[in-house]
Amino acid sequence: MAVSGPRHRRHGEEDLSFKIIQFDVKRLRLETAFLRKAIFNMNSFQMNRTLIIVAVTFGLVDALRPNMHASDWLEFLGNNHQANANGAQLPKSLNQDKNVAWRVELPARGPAGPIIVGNRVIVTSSGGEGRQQDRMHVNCYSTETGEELWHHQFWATGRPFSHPTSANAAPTPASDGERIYAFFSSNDLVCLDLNGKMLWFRGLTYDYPKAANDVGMSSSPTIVGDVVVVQIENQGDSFVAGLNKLTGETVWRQPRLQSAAWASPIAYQVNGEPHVLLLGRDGATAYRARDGEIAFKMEGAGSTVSSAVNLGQQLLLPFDGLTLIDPSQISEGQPKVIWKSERLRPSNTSPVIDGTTAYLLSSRGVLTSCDLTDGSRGFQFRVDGSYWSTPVVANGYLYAFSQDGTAKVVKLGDEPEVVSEIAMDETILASPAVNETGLFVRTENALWKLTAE
Amino acid sequence: MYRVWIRSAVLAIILMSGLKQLSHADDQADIAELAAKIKAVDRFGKGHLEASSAVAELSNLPPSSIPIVLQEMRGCSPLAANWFRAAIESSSQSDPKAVPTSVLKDFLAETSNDPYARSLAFDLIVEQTPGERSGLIETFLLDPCMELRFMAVEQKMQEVAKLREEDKSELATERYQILLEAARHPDQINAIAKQLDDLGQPVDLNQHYGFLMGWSLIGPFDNRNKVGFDTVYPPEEEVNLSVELEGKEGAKVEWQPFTSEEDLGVVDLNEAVGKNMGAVVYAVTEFTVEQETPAEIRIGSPNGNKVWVNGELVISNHVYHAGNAIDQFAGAITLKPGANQIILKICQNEQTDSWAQEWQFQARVTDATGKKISASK
Repeated sequence: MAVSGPRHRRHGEEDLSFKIIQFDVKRLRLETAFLRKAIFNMNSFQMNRTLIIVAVTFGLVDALRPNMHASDWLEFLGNNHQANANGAQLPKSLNQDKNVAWRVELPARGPAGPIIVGNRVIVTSSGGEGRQQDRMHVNCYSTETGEELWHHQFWATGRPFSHPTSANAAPTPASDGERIYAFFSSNDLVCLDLNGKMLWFRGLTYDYPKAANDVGMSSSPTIVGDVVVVQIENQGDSFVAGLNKLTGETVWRQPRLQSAAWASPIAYQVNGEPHVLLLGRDGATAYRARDGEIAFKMEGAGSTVSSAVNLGQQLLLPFDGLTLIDPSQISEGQPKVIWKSERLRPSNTSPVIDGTTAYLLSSRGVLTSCDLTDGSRGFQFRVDGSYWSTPVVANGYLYAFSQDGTAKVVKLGDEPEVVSEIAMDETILASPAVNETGLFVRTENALWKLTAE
Repeated sequence: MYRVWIRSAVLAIILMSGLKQLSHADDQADIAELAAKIKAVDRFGKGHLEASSAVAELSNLPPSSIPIVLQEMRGCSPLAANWFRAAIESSSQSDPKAVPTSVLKDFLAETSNDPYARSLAFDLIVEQTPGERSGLIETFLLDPCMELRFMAVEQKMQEVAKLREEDKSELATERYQILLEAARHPDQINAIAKQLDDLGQPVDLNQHYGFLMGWSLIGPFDNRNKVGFDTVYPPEEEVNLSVELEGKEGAKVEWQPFTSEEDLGVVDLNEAVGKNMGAVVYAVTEFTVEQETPAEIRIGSPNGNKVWVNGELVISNHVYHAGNAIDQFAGAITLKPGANQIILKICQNEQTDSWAQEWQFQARVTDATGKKISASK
């Protein structure tokens, strides 16, 4: 069954129908102050009209309602890694009988998260000979019904070993809206079109046999301009590569520290020029997407697991704790650091963004809020549970999925509270995806859709 | 007039038959040409453009062409196997009912066919006729394709487990012993051995795997700041078990005989030479065969490692504490008649984490399927 879908574009490409959220903390504060002042002296008609004019004039629609129109979830943690789905119709409480729209059994296991392109949800898994996990699967389902639209399998050409809790299918796939890039711990990268026709297959450990980590790798690819970027950071052949997204040929390759890392690269732009930023044990490094030239390198303690977030003009980095930078302002080879907090340290999950607040969920289930304007710490709240899955936030609620398979809904605010929870019966390591109709949750062997009643 | 009709009809049949054959021959030639483009795919994205176009064309062929494409996979690289697979899957999904499963069964039964192609043929058959899955797997117990054999052993293990549940211990023991000989994957071998142990028939896994238990060891040499991995210490140039050498920090070191008494042939260097972070140890043994034998040297180690066989470097991994498993690393070798010298270099780094203190290895010599090769003495 073929499913039609809109064509989408990514960083570095002009697209009026799908505006990537631009978020600038400093600008937001000025504009919010202006709005308050304007609103204070007018009646409701004037207020509505002025709001619209101001919003259009200042481009505030996106800033006030991040991801409102994001019907797709094109990569790990969604577009820009914000893990934000404001505007989506999500349940405010969970009930097994009322909120599970569908559940499909996957052909094999894995901690890779799903992605959403139009009315398709795509997920990878792996199985095969015992721990070797050398059979790789890419499955596509209808977002509406869970019906399988296509399924392709591949053989790993790299090392498919991992810790028993992980699997070869650990990285989350990525899409440019027209093609799917399924990446695996064995460093096999498959490009398919939306109907499942394979366009190319690349075995990067086949190319570089020492590019491997037998504990398992999990860095997810990202698409930046015309290249798909993979971070293959390990003790052997360690590198970042930009591959031509149409042909799979190498456009550029840069060496990385020979040390294991699992964080995912983040795409961003400076003056329309696509870049990608990587975190590693030795710091944060930004590369120009078209040729791999290093834009800057910040030496310090980069996270090896938690990934960075693109806030539009700024990047939030799990680096030396938590650091907010402006990559467009480079001085003496270093980007402008807006603030740095060593008290805030993301662990296994990545920061989640909601307006001017970032939420950090620790691996032991402590939720901490952070004011993005100055890096100050807000509340700390014990959600409980053990977490590898980064939660998502939508409409004032946070959806968290613990390793033991418990889904929790946390109502955010000055005094957060867990308002409901359900058991999903299986280990959850994957971060969920969201479209306007629901949450797509990958448990170890299944894909679920959770919806509002 | 009647005769003319008959002659015309016969001629038409002959022509149609000829045309059909000609068309088939053309198809085969075209498919071979497209397959050659896929087989030419190589490292670093070489041949992608041509292969992408070939995959698109092969994907559009009717499923009746699949057996020809499978034949063309013979000897393809692991990379090319995936390109072929994508094309064949797309072709089969275009008209699943037209997949010629009976022809594929013949292809699958011929064990000399390409293992990737046979594995794919199995998947296509099962996709169309799921009820035949178990019966087909039944035939793979001694299959040269390890992926298929793994499935057969797995299925048989489940059957024998039911025998145990039914208290048919004698029959279960007999079946497990057959499975032990058939299994090649360590996960399955270890699981079967455990079952046999529970049934009162313990398995000497060191003997079954053929782990090399007796070694001569020398060390420690310096590996602080990981300098030792690429440093050529004297044992890499010449092995003389009677000489004393200068080791780490100028200490005198000499060769010591060591026989592992650990399970799974583990040589624990913390025990054998003493705990020492930032250090290198060499281990030497001989492996004697009567005739030239293609083989693999397989090792498992959580430490940086190098392996030489008869002076040739066959394994090299500068990796520390990132996994440790039986047969984790393998190198193809050719054993010469007589004694073959095997040298291992095992490097420990200076990590202080509690999980980074292991300094050990296990090694064995096998055929290409993972079955042990026994030394002649």
